[in-house]
Amino acid sequence: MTISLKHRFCAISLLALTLGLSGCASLVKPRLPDVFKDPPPIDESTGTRATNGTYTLTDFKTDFDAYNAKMPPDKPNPTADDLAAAKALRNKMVYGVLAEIDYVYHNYEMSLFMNEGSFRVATDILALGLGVASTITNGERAKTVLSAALTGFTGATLSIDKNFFRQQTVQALVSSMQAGRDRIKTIIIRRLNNDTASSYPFQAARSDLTAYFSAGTLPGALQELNQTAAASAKDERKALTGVTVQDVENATNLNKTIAAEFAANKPIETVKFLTAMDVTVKDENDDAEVEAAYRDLANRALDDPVLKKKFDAEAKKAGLYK
Amino acid sequence: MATHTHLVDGGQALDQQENALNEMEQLSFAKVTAYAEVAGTTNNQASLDDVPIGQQPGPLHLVAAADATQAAKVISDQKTAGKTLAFQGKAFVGGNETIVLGFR
Repeated sequence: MTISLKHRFCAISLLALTLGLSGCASLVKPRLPDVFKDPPPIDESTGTRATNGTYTLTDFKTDFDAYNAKMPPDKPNPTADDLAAAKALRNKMVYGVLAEIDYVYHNYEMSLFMNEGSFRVATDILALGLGVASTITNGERAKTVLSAALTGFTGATLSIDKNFFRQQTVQALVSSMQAGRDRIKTIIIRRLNNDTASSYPFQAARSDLTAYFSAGTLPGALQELNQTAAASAKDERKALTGVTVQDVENATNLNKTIAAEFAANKPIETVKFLTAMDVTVKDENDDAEVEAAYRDLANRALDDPVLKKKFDAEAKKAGLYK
Repeated sequence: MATHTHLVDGGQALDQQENALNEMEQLSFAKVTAYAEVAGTTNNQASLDDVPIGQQPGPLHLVAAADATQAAKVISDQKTAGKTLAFQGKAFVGGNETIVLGFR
């Protein structure tokens, strides 16, 4: 019996759907304890929503009104008691909001993992199906259409990967989000512990909470990754090591020789040395330009052992290390 | 005048680090104004301010102190000997964190 192309597609699609739906639900997370559910579950004995420590908008409004009563804008010099009460209220509000941000963040983190996983499973199965179908299908035109569809589909997958995830794995993005969140949370908690309600009012904490929330987003993760990469690039500088007394003497001689040349407005050996080091000076008679070129080279050599080795060798040849 | 930073291996002994800082100053026509450990590494970072060519200050001499009290005594002793404090900071020496003071 011949199985039509349409039937083959249906079978593959159903298989993918079955696999996708059967495994995911139990993989996402274990059952959340009632005390962590947000919003809280309904209390069966009373039929109303239970209280489980979730920081609601009503709780926030109550605390914020109490905070404003202790720190009114028209009272620039609050008493010590008011400041202490305002600090306690500020901390309560900030910790409450932090907990809510953490709750939504962890849900987001899980959905990011699961959505990416589901997306990749679905795309892999579809790509596999298209590949198999194009192989077993009779007829050149159908083969061509299926191959083209497969190529287009693979391209679309790559495009999503490139443009949405910036070719980063979800693991890397989540680690980056967590690093950014940890960094900001440390600052917030330190300020809550050390600063008064006057030097770190709730409005300032609110700004930090916004940064904390943003750090747990995809753009926040990409920004954190870029900053980390930039910091790593800066740290590619190598530490200076193994400098001997003779090296210091050579450097002192070079310093004196170059200083004498500049004092005489004839940095001839300095220019020769720069040329040997592949540094181009447009106007050799311009002392300021020669000086800037030399300083730049010396500073680069102090961070780069390979360049430093060449620097030493050429300085010796140029007679700067006398 | 511009400021630059360079790294020195904090696993080295104090006299080797002194050589490194003196070489840096002479080669780059600058003077060290700060010296401190780099968090998460065993390196120290020197901050240097450019000086005009021909006006290089005298050589640096490093002294280590275990705590603030000892550091104060070192400063007092060096001052008596005619030396001026150029910088003071927590830095690695032989891989261990200590207070390093630079005098000229």
